[in-house]
Amino acid sequence: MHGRESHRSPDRLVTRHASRRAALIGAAAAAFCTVSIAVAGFGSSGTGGPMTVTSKKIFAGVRSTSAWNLKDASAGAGEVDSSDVFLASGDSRIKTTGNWSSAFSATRYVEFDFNGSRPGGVPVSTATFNFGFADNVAGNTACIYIEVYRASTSTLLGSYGSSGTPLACSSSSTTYTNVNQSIATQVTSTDVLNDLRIRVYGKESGNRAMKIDLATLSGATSYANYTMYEQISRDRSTGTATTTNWALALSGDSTNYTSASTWASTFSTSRYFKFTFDPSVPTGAVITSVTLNFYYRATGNGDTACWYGEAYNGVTLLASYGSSGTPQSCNTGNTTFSTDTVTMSQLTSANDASAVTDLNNLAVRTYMRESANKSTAIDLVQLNVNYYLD
Amino acid sequence: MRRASFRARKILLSLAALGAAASIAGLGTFATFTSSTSTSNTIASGTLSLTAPFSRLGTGASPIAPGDTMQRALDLSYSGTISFASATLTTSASPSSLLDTDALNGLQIAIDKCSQAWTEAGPPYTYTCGGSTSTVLASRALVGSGIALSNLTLTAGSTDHLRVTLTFPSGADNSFQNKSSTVSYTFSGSQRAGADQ
Repeated sequence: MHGRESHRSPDRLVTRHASRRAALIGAAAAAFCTVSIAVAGFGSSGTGGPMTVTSKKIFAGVRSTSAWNLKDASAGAGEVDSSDVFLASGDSRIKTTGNWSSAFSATRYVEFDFNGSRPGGVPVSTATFNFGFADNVAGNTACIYIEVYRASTSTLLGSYGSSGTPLACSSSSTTYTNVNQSIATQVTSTDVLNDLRIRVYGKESGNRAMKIDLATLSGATSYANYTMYEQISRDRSTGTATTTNWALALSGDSTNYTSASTWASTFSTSRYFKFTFDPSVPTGAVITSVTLNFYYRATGNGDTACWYGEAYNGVTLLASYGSSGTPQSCNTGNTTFSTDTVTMSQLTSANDASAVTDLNNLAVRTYMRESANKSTAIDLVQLNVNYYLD
Repeated sequence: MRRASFRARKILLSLAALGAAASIAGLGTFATFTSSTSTSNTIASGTLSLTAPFSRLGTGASPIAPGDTMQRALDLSYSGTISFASATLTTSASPSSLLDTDALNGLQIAIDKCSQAWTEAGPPYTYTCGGSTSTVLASRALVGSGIALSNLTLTAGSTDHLRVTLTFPSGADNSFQNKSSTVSYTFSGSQRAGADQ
């Protein structure tokens, strides 16, 4: 009773300000409720999936690789190694540079552009530049350091050694110094690997030449080991550049290979070229097409050169293309190269359960004849493999 | 102080008077009827339900290459008692990759509808429509939120027969190799507008 009276007491009535505040809060609350009611409504949802989508490890595409290894049996008396001089060490095929200066110079170097035959966009786990060199004069010392570039843009990616601290030196004219420099820091993807230039700066204590035995790249991608070979070399040891393309790597470059000997006017099983390739097709790849480019011509005016071919894995004959009785093709004249493209369907996955192995060990023999018993010239020998990896 | 007390007393007296008058008026009204009848009016809310009783969206695809397409059928049922006003699609990817983050060359989605159930072949699944088709969603980047869908029936008790097509654009380059995305789909609907009942 006391409480009720107390509530009724004028002393406990709300003040005008409190009333206004309460009114405002109430109005705001009312407005909020109104909006909520207007927006709310029933809703429902259904779900689908999850759906996992995964792309191929390597998309389908044609990867082309030239023949860097060439054995010339045109004489019919055994094979003569006519491979790229930078292909391998210890093969007695070397490049002797021009004369260097006894001090490093920014304008004195040799450089190599490598073939870009690996599928793009693949991570590279290891990449090594292999370089073998020796001084050309006994008692002198040759030293080098290297720079790594993107060939297409001439962008410097990194360097190993310097003019003050050479990467390696050789004080022998008979024993080659082999440098195996990791360049994995610069080469993390096949996009870079396929567009690589290595520049080797040099100096020679007696201002003389040096000998180069080896210049390759090797390593591994996520799916295959690889070795890559130079297709363009530039010798700027003297300060003036001399460019040399590997004869079989590029067509139409006015650089071609002339057989070591003359051919007979009839085919002979002992007269041939043998080409090997290094396509580095990954294990498990599906090979959908294989072609061979073989561009050739006679060297005698008005002469006719003909050829037929055989594909081998070791000593196992995989396929033949033409024959001694029915050549694969003939080309008359000594000015225009043929542009033969031979389909090697026998080496696809659809037709060959061991297609990857056979391609990675492929050797192609081209038997030739020349109507006037002269030599022939070869402009391009290239293997084109279309494959993908799931 | 005394004035305030007097004013409060006046207000209370006024309220008391009003209450007494209202009570009397009410009593008078009841006094008018001598019998009464009553009716009961049951009001119950309806249900809104969007389900996918048939769905191939859980079927993944691997390995895909640029130019590939993936077709998956899906029935969208409006199994409640209230029709829908609209429906949207929200897609998300986890794990995510370039396949779903690249709006241009990543996966694209399109949805069309068949007036009857799609005829399925495969796997890999492909579908043909024996009736008429209409576009529910024109081709666009796969991942998105609240993507408006068109030409759906949305009527309570009905079902839309949908075909979801994912396309891996031919323009995708080697950077899309060896990628993986797991995509979830959520179809959401909201009720029709309120109406007199």
